[in-house]
Amino acid sequence: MTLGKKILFVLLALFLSFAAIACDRTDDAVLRIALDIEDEGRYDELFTYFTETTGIPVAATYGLDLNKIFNTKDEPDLIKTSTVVIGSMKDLYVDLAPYLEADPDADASDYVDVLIDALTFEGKIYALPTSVNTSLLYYNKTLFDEKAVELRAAFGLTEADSIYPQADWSWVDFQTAGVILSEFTGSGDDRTYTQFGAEAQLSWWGEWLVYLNQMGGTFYVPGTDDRVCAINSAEATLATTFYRTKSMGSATEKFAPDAVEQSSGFAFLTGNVAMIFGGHLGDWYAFDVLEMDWGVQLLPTPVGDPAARGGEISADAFGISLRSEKKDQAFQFLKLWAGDAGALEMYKHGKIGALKTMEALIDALPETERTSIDHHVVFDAMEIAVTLPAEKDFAKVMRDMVMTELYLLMYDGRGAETDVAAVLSRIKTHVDDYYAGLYD
Amino acid sequence: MEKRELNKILKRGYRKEYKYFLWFAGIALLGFVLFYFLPILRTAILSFTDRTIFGADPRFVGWDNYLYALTEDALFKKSLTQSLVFAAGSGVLVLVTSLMLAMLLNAKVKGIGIFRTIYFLPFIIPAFAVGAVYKNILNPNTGLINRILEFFGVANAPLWYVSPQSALLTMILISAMGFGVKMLVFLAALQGIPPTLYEVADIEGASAFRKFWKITLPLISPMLFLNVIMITIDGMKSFSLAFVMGNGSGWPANSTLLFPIYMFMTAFNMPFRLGYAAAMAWLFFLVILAMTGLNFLISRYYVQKDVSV
Repeated sequence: MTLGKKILFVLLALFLSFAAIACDRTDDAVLRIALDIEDEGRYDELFTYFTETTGIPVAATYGLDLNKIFNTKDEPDLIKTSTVVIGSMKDLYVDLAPYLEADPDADASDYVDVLIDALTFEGKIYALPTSVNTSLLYYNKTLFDEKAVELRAAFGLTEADSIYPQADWSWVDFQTAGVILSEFTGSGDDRTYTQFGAEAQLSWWGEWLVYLNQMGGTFYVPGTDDRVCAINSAEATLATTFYRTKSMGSATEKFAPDAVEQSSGFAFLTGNVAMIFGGHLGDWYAFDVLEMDWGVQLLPTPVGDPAARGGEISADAFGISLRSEKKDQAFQFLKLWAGDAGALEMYKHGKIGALKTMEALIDALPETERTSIDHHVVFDAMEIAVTLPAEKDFAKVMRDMVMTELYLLMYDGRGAETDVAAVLSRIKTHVDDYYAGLYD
Repeated sequence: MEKRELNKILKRGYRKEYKYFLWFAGIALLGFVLFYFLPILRTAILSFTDRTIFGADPRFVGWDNYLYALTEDALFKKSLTQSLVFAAGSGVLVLVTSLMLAMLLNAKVKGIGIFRTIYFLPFIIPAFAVGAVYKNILNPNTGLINRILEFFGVANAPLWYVSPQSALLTMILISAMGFGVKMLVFLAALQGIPPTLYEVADIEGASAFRKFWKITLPLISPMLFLNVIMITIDGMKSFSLAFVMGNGSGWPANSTLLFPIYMFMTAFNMPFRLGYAAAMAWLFFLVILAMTGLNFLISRYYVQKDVSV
């Protein structure tokens, strides 16, 4: 064998080894599903049930990077998505509408309307929602109990009344309780806080955007295909002013950390902040792990507008890969997963299914199988919640242009801003410029 | 010996050498082609498309990505400017620190090996860890530095990385920890300078500064040039420290948004614009290439090529 051939032989052997490793595919008969790392082992019973009833084995992979999954072009049959990211991912999923129409046991109308709407583009349903996430007011019962006397006095409560947040709370009530729950030493401008009434969400839009929605404002100008920013409105100014006062107000107004204080570890999870406005269901697990005594309530609303729109609603969802060779079987599993059986299985792990009948399903469970959290609050919140804009650059715009500018309102010092309207106007200019030059 | 026979022998020798070359370089070349050349080529192709991670059918968009970056994208300009400022600030700081420390560690004192090890140690700490530690030390409320400043009566202690006004500067200061390898390069160069030159200068009555200016600097100038190139490129592509300090997103208010972070965010955060990020990468490559070329041009004025020690 000549040297050239030897080298070629070695290179070929190496190439084949790499190829063999890369092509280590699972059995073709198995239905594959990609789940989050924290789901490992949680749904094994559901998989077994499906296999027993259909004869189709299910294999789950946990915590795989979606980017890597799609780049292999051998992605699992069922892949997770959500109402938030579906706009960017939809082209990789099968349209489920024909499957739903052909199946007498499944219907898109079984699911919460706003969620199925968020997963539908031009009549095509790209995924079915499996569990809901909605904004709520979270509160630390221990911190509330410590201020019971002050809270009763401020709200005119009797011994029989609850001192915890109520469903009819307004922003003023929220602020009143928040100020009571805040603790500081010093006075005037020299206050040093040791505890706060509420968290401040400075890098994530989940709080500020809810204030905007509640005030009746919108982020995009309706009818502009989500390409023109609407936050130079009076509603946006009022919402942002409240958002700012909460962190930057006087001793009688302030009840959340500013940007500097935020960097020092004030958080609901740390136990030195009493409430989160706009917290999500995904946090339940962490609260329980830390053995916190906590509760949830509907979000407080602006004064004079008790019927204001609620917080944000989103859903984890699963769709069938366009490249799947087992689309029919995948749909059968998806139906089970997003249906009653799957929803009840997920409820055991702190997740709330996206079915319209979910509240009734939980009510029908024996008391011992229900979580300690008042699930009726979750469903009441879902009724009035709104989904995020479907515009695919929305998250980028919020992260890069909106929250960055709002941050300037949230601290004192060089470069800080105090003029809310001016900041909002600047954000609008940035966002409009961004879309003006962007191709689709 | 006939000419033909001589040629045969030479050819045989050449072939033998060529054999060894192929054996030793083959695997490396394969690695280069698979893991560098092909991805680079793919990036070039990607940059002319609107490809996203989850997009099924990328479209050819011509020069749109490049034009959008150069004319429309405010964050492209901001992040590139901040990378240039960071590279310049951090570069000067690292260069001066490493040269000063190298000169100190070139002294012939007892236990110098221990000192050299101690000064090199910070370099082996990952930038992620450095960032995390300094975030604690520089916390405006609870950090050690501000506590000390308050103890000495400083009324308005800096907000460090929490303020958009000072976050980049804070990052530049922290980056000075990366002097390790550069210090070693300078140390090696300093140790190559014959002591006789300094002895002669001493006899002539030259001051310390004059000795540095006339002997040390010219003789280490090739290594100075090497360090300048390395520092410039390191500074421009700095990622880890900015990622930790800016929570992966240029926080606060995009003030720590260096170009590699912005490129990463564009590719791997929603809406996952891979094509645009690829165009950004090529533009960034051109900027670094230009800066390296500029460094070479400037080096003509300070690198002494005819020094022999």
